[in-house]
Amino acid sequence: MPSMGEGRAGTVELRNVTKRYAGSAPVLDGVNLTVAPGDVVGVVGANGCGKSTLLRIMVGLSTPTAGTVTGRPAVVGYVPEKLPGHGRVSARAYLTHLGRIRGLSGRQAAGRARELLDRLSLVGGAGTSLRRLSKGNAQKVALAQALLVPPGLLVLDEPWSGLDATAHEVLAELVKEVAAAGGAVVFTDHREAVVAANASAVHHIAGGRLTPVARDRGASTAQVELTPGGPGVKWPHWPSLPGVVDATVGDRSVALTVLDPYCDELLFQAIRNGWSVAGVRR
Amino acid sequence: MTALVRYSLSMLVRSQGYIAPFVLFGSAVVVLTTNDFGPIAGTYSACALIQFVCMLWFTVAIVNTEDRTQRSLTVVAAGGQRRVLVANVLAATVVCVGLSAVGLVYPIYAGTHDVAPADLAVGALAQLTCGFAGTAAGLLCSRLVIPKAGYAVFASLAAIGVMTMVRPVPPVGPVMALLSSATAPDRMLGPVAAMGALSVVMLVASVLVAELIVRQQD
Repeated sequence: MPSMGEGRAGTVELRNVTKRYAGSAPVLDGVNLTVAPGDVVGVVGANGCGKSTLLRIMVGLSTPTAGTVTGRPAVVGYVPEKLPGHGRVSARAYLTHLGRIRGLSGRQAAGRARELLDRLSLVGGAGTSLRRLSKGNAQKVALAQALLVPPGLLVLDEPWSGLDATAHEVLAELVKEVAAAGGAVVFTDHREAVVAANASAVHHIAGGRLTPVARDRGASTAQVELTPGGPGVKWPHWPSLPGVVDATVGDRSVALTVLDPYCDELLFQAIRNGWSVAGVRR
Repeated sequence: MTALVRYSLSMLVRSQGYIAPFVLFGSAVVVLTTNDFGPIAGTYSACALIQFVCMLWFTVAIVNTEDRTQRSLTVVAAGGQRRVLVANVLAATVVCVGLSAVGLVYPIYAGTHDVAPADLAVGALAQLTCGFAGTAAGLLCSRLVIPKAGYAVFASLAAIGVMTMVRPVPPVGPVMALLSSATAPDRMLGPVAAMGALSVVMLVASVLVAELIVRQQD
């Protein structure tokens, strides 16, 4: 199996990238973006603003009308917004094939696929055909195929869409692991809070232009203090929860910094799981 | 590349897209060659024609098993559009070789013919030539190049019409004309081999054209 270092490369750079389809305004207009190993770059923007086009150019599926892309590593993982669900092939067989295509042996590919699908908790099991998978589970298979071999560049198009809460946590962990292993990660979402919660650098795309966003822009937070309501209350991995920017875990309480859009949902889930709210300060 | 070809063939089998062209090929070969007699080159001419039509269909089926999104994952995993296109063509070639074997042996088994080694060589070359031409045409009629199914059907029918009915258009028409003539088999070998070389050139050109068109569409 390829080592964690395989497929690593230097910095991926987009210089003055423009994409224009015949008879229409440019989808991307002079985009500059630098993604270094270990970076987690989030791109936020409205639907149809060119996020997916930017990602397709980054992975080499689309050629820019003008400008250059340099430094693309040998191993690129790409997760589209939605994996089509009409294939008769099972998730296991599909991932094994993709693993072989990426240079693994059949046994290695099957093992890695099983490991990833177990971690992502694919509902229905690895033998389920792609066409029977729900959107969320198809998204898990799409994620798994991108991670069969540790990527030097992992590109994800709205990866949090359709995933359940558990998979949210696992995805956040996987993104961190890829970055920690020296891979670069670029992902998109139309929700600024989701991007802010998971990225080390945020860019906003609108009108074909990409602009860096100050880290705290649009990401107002709430300070939440929770205490367990009883001895049997489960302690989750707080930093991995959606919207949690910071977590200070004590013996009898936890203090969280939560992005505002996630605060109500987090409080609701905490109370539902036996936690008491000791304080909230916005 | 082996993994990509295996994947292409696996997707073809799972999609069941092979059934219709396979049934067409089997039926046509049985109907046109069973109890046939006389020079076998003429019989192989019919098999080569069927091979062209069926390989066009098979190739469309191979390429169309993946939609745009799924194909994009394959392309990223494989490291480029061209590698996937070549794998599709090689998968089609595997099918073509299999059909050629059937088209070569069945007429001998089911008919009454005097068969010389030169007949077998001409028959194999002719069927592979027409199969490669069908693959080239199929690639250009696939969803990659012609996204709308209706236009793709018309393009396929047009390709079949032009390539089989307009005899001067190489390589299918000239090969069929030659095999149907009274020329001795050993004297057919050279011209048929030349048409075979042309069909390989067509195959390479079709990959390059398809790649160019896909790049422009993206």
